[in-house]
Amino acid sequence: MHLPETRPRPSVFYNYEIHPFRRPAELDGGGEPAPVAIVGAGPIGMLTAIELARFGVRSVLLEQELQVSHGSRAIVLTRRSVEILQHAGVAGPFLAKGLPWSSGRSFYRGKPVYEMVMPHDDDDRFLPGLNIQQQYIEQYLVEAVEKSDLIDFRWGSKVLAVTQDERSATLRIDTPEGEYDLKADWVVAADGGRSTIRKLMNLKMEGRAYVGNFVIADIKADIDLPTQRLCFFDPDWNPGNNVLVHRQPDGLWRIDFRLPDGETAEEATRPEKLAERIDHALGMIGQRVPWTLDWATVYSANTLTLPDYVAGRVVFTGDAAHLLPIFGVRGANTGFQDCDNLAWKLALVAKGAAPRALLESYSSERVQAAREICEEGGKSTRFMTPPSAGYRLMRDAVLSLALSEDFPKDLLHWRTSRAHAYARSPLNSFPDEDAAFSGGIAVGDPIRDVRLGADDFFFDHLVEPGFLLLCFAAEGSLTADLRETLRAAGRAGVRVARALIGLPAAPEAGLADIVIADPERRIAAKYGAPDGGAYLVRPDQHVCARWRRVDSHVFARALDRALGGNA
Amino acid sequence: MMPKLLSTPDLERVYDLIAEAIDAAPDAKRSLMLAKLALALANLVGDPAKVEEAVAAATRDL
Repeated sequence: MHLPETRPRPSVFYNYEIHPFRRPAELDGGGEPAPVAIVGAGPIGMLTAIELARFGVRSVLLEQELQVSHGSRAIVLTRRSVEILQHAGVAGPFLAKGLPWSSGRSFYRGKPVYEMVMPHDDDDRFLPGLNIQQQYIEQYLVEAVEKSDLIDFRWGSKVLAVTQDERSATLRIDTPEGEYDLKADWVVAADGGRSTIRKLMNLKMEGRAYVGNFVIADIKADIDLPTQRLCFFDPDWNPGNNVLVHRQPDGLWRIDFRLPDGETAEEATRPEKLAERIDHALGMIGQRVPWTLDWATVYSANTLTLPDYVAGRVVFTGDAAHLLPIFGVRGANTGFQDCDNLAWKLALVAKGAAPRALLESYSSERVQAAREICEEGGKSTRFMTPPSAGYRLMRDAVLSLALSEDFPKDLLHWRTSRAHAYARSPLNSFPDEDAAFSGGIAVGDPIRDVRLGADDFFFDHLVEPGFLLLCFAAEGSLTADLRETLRAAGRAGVRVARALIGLPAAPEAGLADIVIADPERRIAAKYGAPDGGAYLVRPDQHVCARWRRVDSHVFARALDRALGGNA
Repeated sequence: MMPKLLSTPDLERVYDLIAEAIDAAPDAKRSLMLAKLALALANLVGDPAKVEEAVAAATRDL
């Protein structure tokens, strides 16, 4: 019998809502197999369900608890994550609540050594960072899930076992009213770092764990500092270690510091010890103000990934698939990119509209991304928590030099989570056409936003789920080839949103879904596209083909390729 | 202020290279290894004035 906690979790700022367990039909001998069963309703599991629903695919979403996560956990969303949320139609509440920022400062022994402003283009609507607690991230996604008719959200449901054959998978589920079996064509394992599914299937991750524990303590306090990443190396009260300070909504602040080697999590989170260190941290930043503790936990850094995210009918995503370092805000941000990549592919495969190879491309693309993160994040990790005497000595050398020299400062860059280029994806095509462009957005890269007006951006117009065909008609007329391509796209077997850039209106009805006049030719310039050129963009907004001159045949071949065919 | 002659990727490479060389040397021989490294690099730089600048940067803020 699974008996989840029924009392709201304690918090000084967040009001936890209990979502009661609802008895499913399966417990009374009813129910039917689900196209997709998602295990874990954290941010990644929920976004997967929302995106599947946008493609018309029904899912059962299984969550062990009756309320959202304990503690604020993931507190920074990158620009790419906010773009993903915008494209999924759910970004509004995040933008209303979150605190945007773009810069950070680092200090060594109290003196400034580094300052950085993360790149921000005037064409980007969103700033590089948005601070918001995971309780709110989950709450807003819960609200979006509840609005959908295609998501069967089952709180208080814990997976005990998973079995599968060639055709389907079966989950054994435990609830407060007994156990039942749920059959599903596909299972998405989005059950986090300590994934039950990963353990049940005995799948091992590759990579390494780093020694070195960190405490994160969230306090409510009236601190007078801007929203910026603040990092302090070797403060006198935490010699040889570092402290990070991040502002959150609702007057919350995260203090994040490395523990002395050998100190246990238990020792570190003893109230008096914690209070002493928090007081030191506040003294260090010149803000000796009263504070109340909301939540504290201990973490360590890992650079681990499953080598394959597809195991038969079970697909792994988010922290269930990989454990990545906190440095560079890589947890939820990587997970959002994962499920944005996964959902459209799983939707097509689940509907029988694409071969299994399409799902395998999710794994190859995202495992590659995870490996890049392990590599980059590994560098940051070796700087923030030096794994050996040699790395520690080099770190101290860089910090000390940075007090008077500029040349080593780039080593203090925190290497933020970024979108990945799927440059070698099997879904890409027409590499020669791609190479013929000078500039624009390369095949494999995600498309970029463009400012069209004071409060008007290109991405605001791209709200439809599915593929996107961007056609450029910058000379005031439509070429015959372009016209034919648009017609072909309108007849395609999958949803292709057709965007015509450069004309005030479509020359005939039904030829385009989105028309953007782009009188200043800003989109044409950013995309480097001549009149008659086009981009084919996947539902996760990554480019899979582009042409300086498109016609309906090359479009059809590229689309077929992008669907996992071998055109 | 010394000029930045190493690209950032190359800076990252040499950072890891030296860190691992330090770890590979027996603890008691660490200073010897680093002194040898300093001399070897000074030779590659080939200019005593530049070596003086590097010594000044290294001895500052210890």
